Amino acid sequence: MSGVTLRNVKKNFGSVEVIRDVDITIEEGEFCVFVGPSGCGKSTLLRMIAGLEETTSGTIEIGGRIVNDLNPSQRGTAMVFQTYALYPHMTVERNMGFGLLMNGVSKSLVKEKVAKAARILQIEKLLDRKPKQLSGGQRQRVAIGRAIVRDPEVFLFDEPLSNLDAELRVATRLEIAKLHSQLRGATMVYVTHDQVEAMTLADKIVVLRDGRVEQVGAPMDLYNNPANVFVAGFIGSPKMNFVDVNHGQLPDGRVLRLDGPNAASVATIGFRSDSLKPADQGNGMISAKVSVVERLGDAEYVHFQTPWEQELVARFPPEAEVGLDATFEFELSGKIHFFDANGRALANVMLASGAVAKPV
Amino acid sequence: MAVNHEVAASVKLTRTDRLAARIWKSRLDYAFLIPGLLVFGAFIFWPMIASFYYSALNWTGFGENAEFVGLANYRELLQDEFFYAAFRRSFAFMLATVPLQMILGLILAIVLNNKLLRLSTLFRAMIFLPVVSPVAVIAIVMVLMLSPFNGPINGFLLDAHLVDRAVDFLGSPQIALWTLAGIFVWKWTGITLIYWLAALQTVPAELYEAAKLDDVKTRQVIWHIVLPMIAPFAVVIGLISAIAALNVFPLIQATTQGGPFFSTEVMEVYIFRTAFAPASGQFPRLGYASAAGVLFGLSIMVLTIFQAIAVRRTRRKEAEDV
Repeated sequence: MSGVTLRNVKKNFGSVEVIRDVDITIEEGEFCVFVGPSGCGKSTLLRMIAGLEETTSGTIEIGGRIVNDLNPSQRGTAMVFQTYALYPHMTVERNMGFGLLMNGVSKSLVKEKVAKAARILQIEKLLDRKPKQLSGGQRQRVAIGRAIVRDPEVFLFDEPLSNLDAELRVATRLEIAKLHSQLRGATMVYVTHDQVEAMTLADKIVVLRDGRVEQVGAPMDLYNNPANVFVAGFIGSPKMNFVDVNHGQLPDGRVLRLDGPNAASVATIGFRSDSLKPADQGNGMISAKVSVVERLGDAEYVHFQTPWEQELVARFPPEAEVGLDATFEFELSGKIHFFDANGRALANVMLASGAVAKPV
Repeated sequence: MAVNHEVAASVKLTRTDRLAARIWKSRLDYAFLIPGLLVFGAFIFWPMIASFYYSALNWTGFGENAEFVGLANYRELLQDEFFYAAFRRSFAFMLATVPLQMILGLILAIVLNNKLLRLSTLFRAMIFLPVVSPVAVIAIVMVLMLSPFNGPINGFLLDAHLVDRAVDFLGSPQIALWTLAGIFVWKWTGITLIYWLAALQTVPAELYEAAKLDDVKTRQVIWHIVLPMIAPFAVVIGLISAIAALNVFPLIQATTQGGPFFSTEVMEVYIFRTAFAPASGQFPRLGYASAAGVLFGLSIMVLTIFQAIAVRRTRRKEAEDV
């Protein structure tokens, strides 16, 4: 009974609307990630759940209770801040137990709870240190420990990894995933601008843009069936390729044969880097010239420029040894996404096989 | 050995060359410094040096009848009970005003640092207004306000039956100095407030939010989080205020001129009196006043050294805390 439900939630800062009519349901025990570019309102939304920002209209329910008018401390949430927000003059132990101690919980019980959290996070040896004597990753653990000690129904994470270096970020990401399975039943809401974090951690992703929900779904749902161009471009790395078409015609005059009832509305087609397959000269749907090659070891991401000067990226096997300035012909295979002129995904469209006609 | 000398000489030469070259390279910067240096030299540095010299003279400050007397002025000062009394008053004034000003400033700063408090900018401006008002204006207004004859403060105290008869705040030797201390605190609390507000900015907003989520009460937040975090600044603010509190000449000169019966004659007023405005029938004694000034200056310098040490410690502690 400790899911989080947002209904018609709005937030204005003065005359600026930062959250516009958001509806989200987070089930109990779910790991939900709010993701979106900076300024999309994801942190504000999290802070509204925490009670650190007032809700202009709409209701926020936690565990079936409407919490709009409750103090942050009464909402059953605990928050992990991007900057950790540790008290610099207190030891790790006191940092973690401070809230409980101030609320009259007995010293022995606090000690016990802190010790338990420290065990889960493997920071038992750090309990006597002060934050300044800890590394970024350790501080992050202490911040999480402070949340665990409160025994909350809902954990709120506000970009907790963005102050860590790349390697530590990956490691801590794993830790947080483990923590979620360890604390069975704890609902977690996690804010990030990094779609990789969202994909790897989430049971459910909420993609936000300009204070609106663009799409809600499981990671692979969003990856495979993005609802619009924005989500398609935001989820997945490298970014999805988009090509504008007009009745199937590409900017260079080649025509793709599209089938299905919505074929006429297609304004943009999207395809991921692994959907671009080299084809024999003259048989391809798209031709493009190599501009940059990124070698990652297990794959090569080759960036191309089309004749109409659009960037595309294709995934090649590591031994491909693609040379700069080489021209390739590609056919499209696998999952192809179709969008209308408003950027909305279109169902019931297919690329007909052998689907290319020569320029007229 | 000779070679070594040569090497040393050449190293020295290149060093000097390099310094000269660097000065020449930044000649424009130095040129801009010259006016400031001239003013500083003429009005601060030169008088400081000169007062050491004057303190060894028996001189009225006028004419060429100066007589070199060595340390005679100092010997006489150490026998002068007016000197001791003034010295004591200066430090008593400081001890009375600094803690008051700091505690008052801190309380106001904590209240006004609350972003949710409406009109906090207005309150800040109001409290800061006395700081920017000229001392002379404040002195005149206060003399009128505190007047035992028709001053509104006495009017209020009498009407409220808090006193039986008008209190001569600035005219009675028992309380004049403390009245001045009150005026001083009222005038300068605004600046202490600004110092404290600056110190409070070092407490990140997330800490208040974290405490809020932890259901920590405001009073606990102040006591357990805010005060320990800004405590290092107290030393610096205290010492700045202490030195400022020894610098009260304009206020006293504009109100009591050291009276009644020398009861508000702090060190600066004593120096001024002996140097320029002795009682009728006495000659001004610039040399003697200079000696008093030197002694007082040295005692302030000791305070300043403490301040420098404290500032350095605070900085180091801050650096460690990051």
